[in-house]
Amino acid sequence: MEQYVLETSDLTKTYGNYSAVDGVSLKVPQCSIYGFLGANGAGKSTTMKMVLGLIKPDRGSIRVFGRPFPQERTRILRRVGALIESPSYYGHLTGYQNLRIVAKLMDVSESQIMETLEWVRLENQADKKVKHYSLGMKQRLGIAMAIVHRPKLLILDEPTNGLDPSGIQEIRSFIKSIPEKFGMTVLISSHLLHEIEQIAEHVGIIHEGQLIYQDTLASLQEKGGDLPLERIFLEMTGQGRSL
Amino acid sequence: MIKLIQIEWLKMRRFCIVFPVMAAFFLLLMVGGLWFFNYREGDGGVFSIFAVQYFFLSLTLMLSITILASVTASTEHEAKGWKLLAALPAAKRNILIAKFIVVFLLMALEVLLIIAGTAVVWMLASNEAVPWDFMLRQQLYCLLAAGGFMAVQVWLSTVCSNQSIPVGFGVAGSISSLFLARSNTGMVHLLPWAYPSLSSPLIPDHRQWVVAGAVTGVIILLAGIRHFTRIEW
Repeated sequence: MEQYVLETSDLTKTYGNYSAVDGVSLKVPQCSIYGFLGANGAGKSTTMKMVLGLIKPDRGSIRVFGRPFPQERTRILRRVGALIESPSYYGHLTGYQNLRIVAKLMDVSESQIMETLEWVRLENQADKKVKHYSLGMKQRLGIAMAIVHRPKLLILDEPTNGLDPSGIQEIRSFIKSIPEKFGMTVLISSHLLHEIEQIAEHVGIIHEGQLIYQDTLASLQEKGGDLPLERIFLEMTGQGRSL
Repeated sequence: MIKLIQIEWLKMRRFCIVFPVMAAFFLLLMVGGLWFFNYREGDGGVFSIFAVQYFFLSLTLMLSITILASVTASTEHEAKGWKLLAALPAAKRNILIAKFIVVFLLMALEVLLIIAGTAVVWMLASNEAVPWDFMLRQQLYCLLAAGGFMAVQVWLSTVCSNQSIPVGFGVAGSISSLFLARSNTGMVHLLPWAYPSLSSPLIPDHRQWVVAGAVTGVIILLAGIRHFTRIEW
């Protein structure tokens, strides 16, 4: 039986009459990269925020590492890292000091901070104030802050947003190496089909708050026969526009 | 909780240390100058320094609370730090409590500097023994009586991303404090903004306002925590 690091059941969030997330049941397998695909406003960020306890669901349940969330919130979040929407960083502090803030709370050693900075290739910029970083560097710092404590589940919400092509490629190669290097499970959201196609093995498609597909990317390709992936997505979402 | 306070210290802007020092210095300069040139040779003699200080102490402390609460909170607003903190394995209530404690500690630093500075002025200007008991009570009571005001400012600065709202509210509250304390309408004294100005040992029954300030501080902080933990980031 497949082990799921993250399982949600009937997760629902409504704002007035608008259902931002409607009965989403995610199943994220262990040590996989799970691509969470959907157009802007489809409900990706809201789902991820509910998984992190930043938003309270109206209905449904969440289990992370087999444990109920938010009942065991603190225990679970010790093993979760996240980068939601744009990265949070203290601009008046250096990259190293920003990492120390998370590291302090997570009891992370000095050597692990340095190792993380090296891994995201910020070791030479560690003493520079983050307000002087480029967007790509800030994004890499955001990822470093999310993985400095070596979580078992990494949640990344559109981590390549706003980056130039080389920055996108760089972040993509970081993310691809994470499961193997650190044994983490990655849940990554994107509205870009080709991005998910290059990174993920499993995929979930959310459309207007509802999860309309969830399986491996290979199964999706099989299901579509000769159709290109983009065509399959457009038919599933009933959209005349590209994802 | 200790770790959250240490984190607050790590990300604190230098301004948060410089400001209480400057505020204490300017208060001493103003009080010392006014007393030396206008009241030194009056009926109260050297003791009149406490009456002069009374006029400026609550205003200085309340303005300092307003600024420090705003700066510590705006550090999070600018960094989108609330979202980061709320996704870390720490009780959400402790995030707000840590902010409150940090503002309190910075204010305690300011009060200690005022006490030390007043003692120095006293020793320079008088041969009499320093009235430590009165001096400590005047400053510390004012700080404790401002507990309710501090809780309001920390909460308001946290929930408003536009800091002009808590700063405007705090400045108006600080200025109104002395007027509220002098109002003939007794009900007005019950407002937390009046407590710091009513807490001086120069005023009869001042202790009740110190207790009222500390108690409302706890109550408003608890209400603020209740609201803060329900915010969706």
